[in-house]
Amino acid sequence: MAAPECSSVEVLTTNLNSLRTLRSSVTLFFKIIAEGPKEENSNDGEHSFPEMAAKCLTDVKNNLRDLETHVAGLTPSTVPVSLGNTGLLSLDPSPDKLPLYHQLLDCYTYVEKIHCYSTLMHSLLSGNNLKRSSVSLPLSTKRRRPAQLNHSVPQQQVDMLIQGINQMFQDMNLNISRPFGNNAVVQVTLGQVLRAVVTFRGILIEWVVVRAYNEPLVDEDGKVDLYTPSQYKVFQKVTDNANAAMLNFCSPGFSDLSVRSFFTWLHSFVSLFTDVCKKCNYHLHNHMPPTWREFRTLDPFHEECKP
Amino acid sequence: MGVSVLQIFPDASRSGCIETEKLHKRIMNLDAVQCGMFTVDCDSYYTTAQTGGGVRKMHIVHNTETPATTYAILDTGSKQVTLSADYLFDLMLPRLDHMYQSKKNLKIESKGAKYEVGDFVVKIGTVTMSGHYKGILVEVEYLPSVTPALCWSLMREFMQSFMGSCVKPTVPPYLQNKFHDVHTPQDTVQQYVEKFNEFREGPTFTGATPSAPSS
Amino acid sequence: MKHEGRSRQNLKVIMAVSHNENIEAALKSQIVPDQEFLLQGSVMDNSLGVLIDRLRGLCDNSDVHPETFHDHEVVYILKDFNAPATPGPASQGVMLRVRRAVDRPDLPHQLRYVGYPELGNYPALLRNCLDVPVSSNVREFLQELGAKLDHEFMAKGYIMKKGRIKVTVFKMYKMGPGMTKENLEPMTMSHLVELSVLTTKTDMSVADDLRALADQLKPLVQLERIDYRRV
Repeated sequence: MAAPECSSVEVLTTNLNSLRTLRSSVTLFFKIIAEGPKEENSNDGEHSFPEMAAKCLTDVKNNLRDLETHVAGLTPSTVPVSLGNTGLLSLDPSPDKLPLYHQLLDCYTYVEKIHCYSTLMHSLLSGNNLKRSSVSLPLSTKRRRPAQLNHSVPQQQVDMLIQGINQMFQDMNLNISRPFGNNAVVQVTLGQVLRAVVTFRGILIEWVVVRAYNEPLVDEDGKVDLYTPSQYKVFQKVTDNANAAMLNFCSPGFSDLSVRSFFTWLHSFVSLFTDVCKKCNYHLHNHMPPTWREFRTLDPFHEECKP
Repeated sequence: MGVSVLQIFPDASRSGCIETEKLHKRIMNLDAVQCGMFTVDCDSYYTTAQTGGGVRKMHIVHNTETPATTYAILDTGSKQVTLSADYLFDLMLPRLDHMYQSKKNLKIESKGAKYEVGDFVVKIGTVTMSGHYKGILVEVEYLPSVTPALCWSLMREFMQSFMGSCVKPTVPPYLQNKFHDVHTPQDTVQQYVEKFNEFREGPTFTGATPSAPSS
Repeated sequence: MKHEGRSRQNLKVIMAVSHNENIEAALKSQIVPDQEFLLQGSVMDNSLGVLIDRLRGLCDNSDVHPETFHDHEVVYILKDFNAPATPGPASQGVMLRVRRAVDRPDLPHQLRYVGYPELGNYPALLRNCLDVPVSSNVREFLQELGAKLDHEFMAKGYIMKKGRIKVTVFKMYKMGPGMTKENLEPMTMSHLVELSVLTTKTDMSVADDLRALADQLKPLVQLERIDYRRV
């Protein structure tokens, strides 16, 4: 994959070079025209004015032909950045908004690169964290771009994943909606214990809010409320812990697995009010039930009793 | 609206204020914040005519937590129906006096201070019936949960932490019947009526026999 | 189900008083809007459009289409059914009306007490009236209270307001087994027209406004004070 990519860059460079040559020859031609024929007495030069102009024109013609053949060899870019509705910004005719689109593109490319690098880093580091110096991966695979980026995946894939998780648990109901275009928002109802709003970006979890069962999931306008925290201390704590868990489970290489583990972890809160702390064997500590669940064993702990 | 549990606190000294002061101190040690007062009052109406299947009672309850609502709890002996109505319902009652008449001497109320402890709300009320002191009634509400089934043992632990052994390990019968239902303000009010009836029937000082607090 | 006729000012006073747990005091000072002036008439179905157009011109918010309503009313009588029947109002019991909006199930049910018309020379029928929003188990409550179902009907029509005056134009439909929302059997070939206003014992001035509005509808509808005891 690396080879065609490199060659296409080279082709692009030669293209740009020939364009530059064409431009300079055209400028030269206009310069000669503008200066006009030299004074009569200075006919000591070997070329007269018409000759000079004709020579320049031939240069222009040749350069143009070069450029045309080069351009014909170019292939159009195959991976367009999917911007969703934001892509329409480029069509906005008002001049003060024109730079926005390019800034946006830069931003997206940058983020994409970061994701790309982080994925590579993750696979490298997880390969063997004891062997620090030597990188055993061959050079070609190191430079390989991942086939798919986590933050721009087709909607169907996210839908399928959520659907699968929904069927894993009887008492946890997931409801997917897309109020902001491409990115999914999942409303979770867990038994009669809690409700949560999980905001996705692509297949990565971006933000989690956990609220009580009797607190509304939508705001006054009837839209999904993504930000308002719960009014109860216990769910504010659970929200904090859920965001920590979301970061803990996140692994760029296996994003669907990380989403599945997060929801398994969230599901363990079905016994938020009924479980006793594994360490102190009490329901309450500081008037709070055990709001922490161990990541692997899902054992309940108080914030203060955490191992 | 969370889940509410009512608990009669035995008052051996029969004085009221000493025991409420004790509870106040204990709850303040749990980092409680006092946040105002509350009153729950209950008027009872009985059918005038004794014909047709016994006396029917109607309890009219007001709770300062829901100031615009009047609760009317009808007790036919076999069945209880709780109606939530606008406070204008009070004006309707004189129109029904050909059937139901108020027993003025049974007017009972629980009045006291309200505290917030984490997600718990605790109300320590002094119960008086037509001016006479009857006992102490403590209401504990756990706000984040909606059904007693989920949070009863957690609430019991909390209640025992400041009321001690008068809190029985078993679920109160009223909650047991609605263990898996979503708790509503009517449920709170119905529990008050139940406890008020215990106070009315019991001796003036329920704490006279501290070993057996009525529950 | 609507309270347009109720004076907002009076309501505010009541609210304030009620929070002080003193609704009896409000009753004593006669600031509770529990008096209703009522004028009734009827219009044939084929003249309904003309009447609605006329009313839209006379009432507030003439730019929007009049609000419609579709209510189900059940009437109960509460009295001691075992007592021997003696003449006089005591044995007649109290009529309690339960209304619910069929098209708006999210609204509370309304329990309505309507008293007997006051004697005296008033410009419109004056009666004691009390509307209480209640929870949806009110029918079960009334039955356990000892009340018996008297009759029930559906009312469907338009509601408008002019200042404090509530104007309703509606048709009554029979209730019975097999009656669905779409399949209703009308009672008459005409629509009932009601002008009503809720007021207090101390504020009777609004009755003249009511009369004035009724006079403006004169050729179309004859609105009169109808005393049911004489019907």
